[in-house]
Amino acid sequence: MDRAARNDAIAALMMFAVVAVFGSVTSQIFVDPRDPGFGARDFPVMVLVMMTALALGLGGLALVRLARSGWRLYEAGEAGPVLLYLLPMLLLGFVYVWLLELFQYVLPTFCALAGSLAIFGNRGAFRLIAVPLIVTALFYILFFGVFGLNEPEGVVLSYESGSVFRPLRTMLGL
Amino acid sequence: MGIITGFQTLFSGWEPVLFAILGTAIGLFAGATPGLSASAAIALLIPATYYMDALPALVFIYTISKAASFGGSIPAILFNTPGTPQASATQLDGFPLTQQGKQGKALRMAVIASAFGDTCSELLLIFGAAYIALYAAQMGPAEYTAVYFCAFIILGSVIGDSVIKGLLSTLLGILLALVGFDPITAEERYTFNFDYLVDGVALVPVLLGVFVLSEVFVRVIDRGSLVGDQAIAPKSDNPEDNRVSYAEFKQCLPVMARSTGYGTIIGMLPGIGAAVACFVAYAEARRTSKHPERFGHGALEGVAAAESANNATSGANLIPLLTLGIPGSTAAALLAGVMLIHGITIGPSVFVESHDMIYGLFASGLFCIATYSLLGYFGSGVIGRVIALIPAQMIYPLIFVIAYVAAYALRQAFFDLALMTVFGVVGYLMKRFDFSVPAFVIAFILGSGAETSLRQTMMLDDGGAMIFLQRPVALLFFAFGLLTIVLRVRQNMRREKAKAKAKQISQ
Repeated sequence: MDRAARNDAIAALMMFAVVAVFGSVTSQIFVDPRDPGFGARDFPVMVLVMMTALALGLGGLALVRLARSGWRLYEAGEAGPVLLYLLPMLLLGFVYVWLLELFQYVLPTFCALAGSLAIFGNRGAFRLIAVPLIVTALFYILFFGVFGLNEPEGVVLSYESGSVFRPLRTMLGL
Repeated sequence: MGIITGFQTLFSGWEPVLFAILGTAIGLFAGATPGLSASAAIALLIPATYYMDALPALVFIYTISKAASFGGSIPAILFNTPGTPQASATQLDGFPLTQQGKQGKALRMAVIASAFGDTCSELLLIFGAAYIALYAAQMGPAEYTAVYFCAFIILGSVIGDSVIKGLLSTLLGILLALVGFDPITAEERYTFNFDYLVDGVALVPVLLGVFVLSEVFVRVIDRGSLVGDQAIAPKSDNPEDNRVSYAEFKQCLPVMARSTGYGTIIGMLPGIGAAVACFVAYAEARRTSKHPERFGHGALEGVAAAESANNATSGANLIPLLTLGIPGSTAAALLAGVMLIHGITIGPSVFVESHDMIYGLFASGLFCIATYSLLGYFGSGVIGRVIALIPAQMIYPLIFVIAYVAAYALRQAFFDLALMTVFGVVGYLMKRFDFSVPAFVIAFILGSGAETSLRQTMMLDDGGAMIFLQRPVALLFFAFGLLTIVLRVRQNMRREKAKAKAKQISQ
């Protein structure tokens, strides 16, 4: 299997998708007919045209190479690590953001840290419970205590970190 | 003398000096931690710079990038695992020296060569950049358009194997830079009805996504190959094996001088990066050596060549940034991001508008070299042993969470977290399908400036693009860009032919 050619073909498709998404809203860019020289739409159109031409070149060359190699596109076991490790990690990223909106910082961070440690192959109570607890507490003190960030407002659960850190920061003169 | 003013500015308060020392220490550890690139470390720490004044912020970021360049050589020499991509060249002779029990000698040669290359490059920056800026300040929008064109072509065609993918990465970065208000008519473009995108895509979530989160996604796939608890080969009892003698230094000096030259020149070209400089310098040192057979088996000149070229890029990288507004590397692009955050104009006017601060930054560069030389000369082994104790399987989950907190620190908005996650996926896909992440990021930073220059040029003359024909400097840059792409395509075609021929012979 010509894996490089297969990847080039996918890369070209991705570029076509980007061009399609941006191209579909390009006509909505307002252009003042009195504008001298290039208008607000011309430069984006120029970029999109160049991207289309290059993606066509990339895809075309990839198709020729794929045809030569007999159109084999997939090798057994290739999707395994993606489905087992990458996809859960990606989902964890989006779920973490969503959980932060619902439950503020502490609970989601503990869960995200424990989850990501597990996905990376860490096992045992120390690595999956103690480490996330310690790190969550350390980050909490550092970012919301020392740096004075405002904690996200939790929709479901909300607790006031300012009541702990504000007097402490005032006392330290930070 | 600007540099004397620079030292006065640097030592005028405790903050710049403290952050120079802190940045150097963090850079050493970040560079020495395999998988944690300098770009990722800087991207993670950029949010911390919101809470600093401009000079300490710039000093912090600059010293991290400088020290990380050297730090990458520590695991390359001790564990045969380069901490940064450019340290792969150091590894070729550094690790064989460790196997011979001469890791002390190899590490000390790496420190000396790094400091030599870095100092020469920094001096060129200090004494040369202002003169180049004088000429650059006379350039108009037409010349700047040509400079941007040239930079985009070099970025797109030189980094990576595929010219088409390199150029596509560059165009993707430019396209992303178009999101938000049009710089001339203030028309809204590509905001997809998100209010947060009206001012453009925020730089920090993009940086954290493509440099940090994407690296976590890449590593989770190879999680089985993550190294940890590495053992260092036993050190020799002979004191001669743990120091660099004067005779050895003298022998390596011409190699270091030549390699510094290569590193400085390559470092000035946008986006090419230190890795290319290191391998060019290493290959040249081997070619010109009286004993090329020693290379790859523990030649001290090999370590000296790679390390002096590596660090010679770090000062030179800032020359195009400060004179033309074009970052020479990812680290320079990140520094440009910090400058933008703190409202500092990038380009030749910086020498007038922020004179003391820029020379303060240069002074911090020299201070950083002295600091990492001391720390590296006496403490590289200790740093190596500490790094060896950290289980790699735990580093990436920690980085994953820090990235989210860092992105939240920007505007304390969930949108930035979601944006960073999306760019994490984008960065992963770019790496997976061999697009160029540095070209994408640098083009994203430069995109708006390029559009503004082009449109200002078009407004200058009714003849449209014909105006470029009346500007010899612009023509020169266009010609250089075109020549680069022609040479690169020719080189690729030759390589493909050679591959096909080799395949035919093997069949």
